[in-house]
Amino acid sequence: MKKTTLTLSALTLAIQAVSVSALEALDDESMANVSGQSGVTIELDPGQLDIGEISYSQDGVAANMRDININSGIGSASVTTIDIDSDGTLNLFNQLGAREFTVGGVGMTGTTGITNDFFSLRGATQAYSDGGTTGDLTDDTGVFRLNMGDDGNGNLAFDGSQVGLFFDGLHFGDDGMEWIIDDLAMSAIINYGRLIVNDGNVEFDFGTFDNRGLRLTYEAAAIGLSNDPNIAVGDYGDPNSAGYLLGDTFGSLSVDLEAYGTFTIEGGGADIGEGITFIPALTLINDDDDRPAFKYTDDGYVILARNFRGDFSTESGLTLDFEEDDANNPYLALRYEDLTFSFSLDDLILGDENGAALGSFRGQVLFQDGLVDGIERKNYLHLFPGGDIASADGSTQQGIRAQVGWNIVSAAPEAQDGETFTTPGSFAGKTAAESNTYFAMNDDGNWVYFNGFNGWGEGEVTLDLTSGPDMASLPSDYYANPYNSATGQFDANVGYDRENKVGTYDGLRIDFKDLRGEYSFSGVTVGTSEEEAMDSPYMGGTELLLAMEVFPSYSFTLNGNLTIAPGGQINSDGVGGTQGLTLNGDLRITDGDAAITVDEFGRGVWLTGVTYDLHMRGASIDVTEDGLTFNKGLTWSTIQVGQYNSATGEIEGGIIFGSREDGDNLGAFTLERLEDGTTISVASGGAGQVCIGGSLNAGGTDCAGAGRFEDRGEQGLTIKVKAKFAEAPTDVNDPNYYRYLGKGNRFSWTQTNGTTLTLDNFSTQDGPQGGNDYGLNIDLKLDVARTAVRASFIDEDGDGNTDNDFDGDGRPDLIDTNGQYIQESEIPERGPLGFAVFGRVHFKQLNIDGLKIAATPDSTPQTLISQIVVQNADIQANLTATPIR
Amino acid sequence: MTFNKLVLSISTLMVASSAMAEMKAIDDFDLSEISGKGGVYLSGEFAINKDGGPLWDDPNEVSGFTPGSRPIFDGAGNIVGSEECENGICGLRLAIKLNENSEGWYVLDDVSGGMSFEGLTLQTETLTTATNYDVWVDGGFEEKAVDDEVLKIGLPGTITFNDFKFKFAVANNGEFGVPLQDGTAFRQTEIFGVQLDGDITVGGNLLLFPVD
Repeated sequence: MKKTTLTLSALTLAIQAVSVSALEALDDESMANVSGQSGVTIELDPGQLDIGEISYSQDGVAANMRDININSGIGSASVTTIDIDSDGTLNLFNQLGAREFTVGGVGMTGTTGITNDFFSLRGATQAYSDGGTTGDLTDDTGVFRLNMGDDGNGNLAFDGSQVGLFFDGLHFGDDGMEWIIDDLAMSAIINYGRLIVNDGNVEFDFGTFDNRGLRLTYEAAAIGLSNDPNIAVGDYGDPNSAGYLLGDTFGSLSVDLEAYGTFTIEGGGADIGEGITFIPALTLINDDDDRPAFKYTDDGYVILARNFRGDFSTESGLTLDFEEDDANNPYLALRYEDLTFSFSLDDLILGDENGAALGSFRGQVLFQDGLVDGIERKNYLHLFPGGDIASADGSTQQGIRAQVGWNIVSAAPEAQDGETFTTPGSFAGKTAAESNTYFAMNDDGNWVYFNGFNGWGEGEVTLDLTSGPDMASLPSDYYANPYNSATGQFDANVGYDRENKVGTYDGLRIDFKDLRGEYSFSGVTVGTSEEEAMDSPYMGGTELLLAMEVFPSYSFTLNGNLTIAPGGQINSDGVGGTQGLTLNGDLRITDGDAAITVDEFGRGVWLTGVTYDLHMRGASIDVTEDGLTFNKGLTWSTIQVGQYNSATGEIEGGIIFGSREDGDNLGAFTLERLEDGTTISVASGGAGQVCIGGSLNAGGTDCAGAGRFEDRGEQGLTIKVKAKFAEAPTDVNDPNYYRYLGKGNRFSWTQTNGTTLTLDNFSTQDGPQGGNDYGLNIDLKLDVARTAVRASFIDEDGDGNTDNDFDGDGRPDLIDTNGQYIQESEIPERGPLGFAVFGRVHFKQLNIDGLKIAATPDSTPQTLISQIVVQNADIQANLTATPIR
Repeated sequence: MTFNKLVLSISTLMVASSAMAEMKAIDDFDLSEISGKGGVYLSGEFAINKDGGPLWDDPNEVSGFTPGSRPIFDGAGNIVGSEECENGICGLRLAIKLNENSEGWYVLDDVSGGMSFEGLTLQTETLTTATNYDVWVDGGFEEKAVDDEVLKIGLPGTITFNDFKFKFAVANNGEFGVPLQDGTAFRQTEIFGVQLDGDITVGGNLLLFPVD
């Protein structure tokens, strides 16, 4: 077979036809179809179409699709009607026939010929269907419609154009494994579109808020994985039935959005030479109450968002270049000096589709290249084809390797004249709302902003589809713990996925290689509107993120892997479930500095010199009636904060009080954990009626003492942590013997003088009968609400009584945010906005095998307390926190 | 050698129960400290087992006893009887065994009740002058002035205790009601009980700072 290669640069496509069936003359019947009076109709049934390669190149580096095969033998011909309206508009209407297709590889080729693939493709599409509705284009599939005419202003108009496809199956392959989307419907409709050719660029105008140019829909019945590269494309059965060929899946997903704004394309990338610059100024929106913008379904429960709006904007644009690294490996480089993404959504529902909404959310991310301490912080994504892990026999290496860098910014907090508090800052010429990265939540009309986020990082992330060991005969090191309690050291040669061994799991493996990053929040601000929240003082509250294991401020280096497989671990019964995400992984954070609590100036309580070693087996993310639930499965971890150096007798790193750089050192600690079945769930629901300043009676009817009821409303956020600390059994026949072996729960604290306190082997238990189902529970209900703040005690006449007690209750009177006196009845309108936390810790039994003390970590410990048992605990804290000036 | 310790400095701490005689009011200097700037104002309630706890108050969890009672087990782990909790509420139980060879446990039992307050303030700031404190240096104490980051806790004035109670006891097992492995019946002797109700007044600031 003769193989020719056509390679044209930049804007020229190179198509090499290896074998195309011969063209044939149209017969009389077909001719009759073509001869139509008001246009031309063409039927095309090419049979088997093979294309050797399609490539697009910039500066000698090419992106290519190779070994393309399209088979129309399974379906009907494509019917194309071409017509020209009386106003000169070209109407091209293509009703596609059903097709099967394969692409051997989608990858890149460098100047020296190095070629790697991102992935391969297989798929099957259905023939044209109008969805049973002739007037409604949104459900049309198997269609390509191009309406192109003059808009009367010298621009091209594309109004009424559309693309719609229905894939019976779409397979992305990686070294013999496939990521499969079942019954995927995709549609893009241009209601209003203009192509405007400017001096130096081409601009697509997709209208305005009142004239939205684009409608985009995406719907996938199921998303799964397969180890069988030969599985037939198309019909896999019913995703909700037992015989489904893809087995467990991630669940189903649908997206339905409109878009408007402009999208500009310029020639030339970030560097000298060829490239493309994209400048989006687009808004994605769905404000139709009847159509969710996003809907993810997992075993019948949903994550659903209505009334979504997202805005993208950039001044510098996004540049796309094809480049090579020093070893001539080709890659695709996406760069952006600045990019702003802001979003808002009402009615986020987690759990039951008809359940209560979580409230409204809003957020903004400001990417901006920067220079800090002489080090450039850039925003980029370099995509290398090939991934990290080759096929089992080493013959192919597909996958994605990404070098990524990001810099997310916020303006520095601004101090107010004569005051010690700060408010969110602003960049020159911009408002505070435009100058901060934040995440905000509305609760019964009040906003809470996790505000002033700054974060940057860079490193390498690879994506591969991998397969794991046979669960019936697991490798002996599958549950190995690299941390040795006796020596206090990590062993690099122990573990399933470690320095000199790659242990893989079934699923999409995300590998992190020296991913360095840091982030911080300035604090929390509250208000009834964005303006008020951006003008309010920074206060604490980011510490609440610790309940979800998110530090208010953190710098780290991340290595290790996380593998995501289809199928959850829990459903409404708390067990099983065929949909959701299963997680396995081995992660190691080193060189960590984390804040437990920190103010906007970086002063607080810091954990420095942190090593966090974490292993998960059978963890999952599921949506249940309890909301979004992270199930940690079997998780063992070691957090080492600072270390005692036996040679010098000094602590390196440790717990720092004050500034991270020069605060006081409180010593080092190590926390080892062994958890089996710990869950963290996030759901909607506020605290409702809350008794403040008094004590609620058992029936909840009376707020005794000097207290009063305040209504926190029904909206709000509920976080539930159910920690199950396990104890390693000594009986080798115990089913958990090997799963728990060499692990445990233990806390040790080494002071700066070497004195070491150890809390050994703590575990939860369901009481004397045994079992470990109830766990240690932390329930948090978070609300933002107006509350009462009393004025300071003033006693100018020295009689011992407060002088500002005008209502005669013996206490200073209530004040509003500006210090004006208010009545108790005015709290709902004028009371300062506060952050209300209802926290509850409850467990049935907690066992601790002793508290020991040693002169140094290396010396023999003495027992202070031999055993501790805590039973029947239900500790509640019901607090409102209000910023004060 | 430097001895590491946490120093609690109470710049002004006034404690008066409602039944006690009025105490002198805090002076203007300390009052200006209480007003607090750029911090957090906390109101609320802390409560322990106010409505009972999860182990002995859920009739579905352990059969054979009613809410508000604690099961007693025989040597075979069977429930043989129950002990009523006070007012039907079972408090938290904390049992500690000091010595491995000891047979006895110190027990803080039936801890329950709450304390509520309004206006506790939390602020961190750098104090250039404050109360001197002693620090252990080379075998002796030295006096040093504070010039450091402190956590300042503005005390709320009135703290109300609501039916706060606990018992101090000794027992032969940490787990309530469970006989020892050799079959010896569970035994617990209550030494004394404490119940706290009503208001105490605590004013001024509490300063919390680490020292080397």
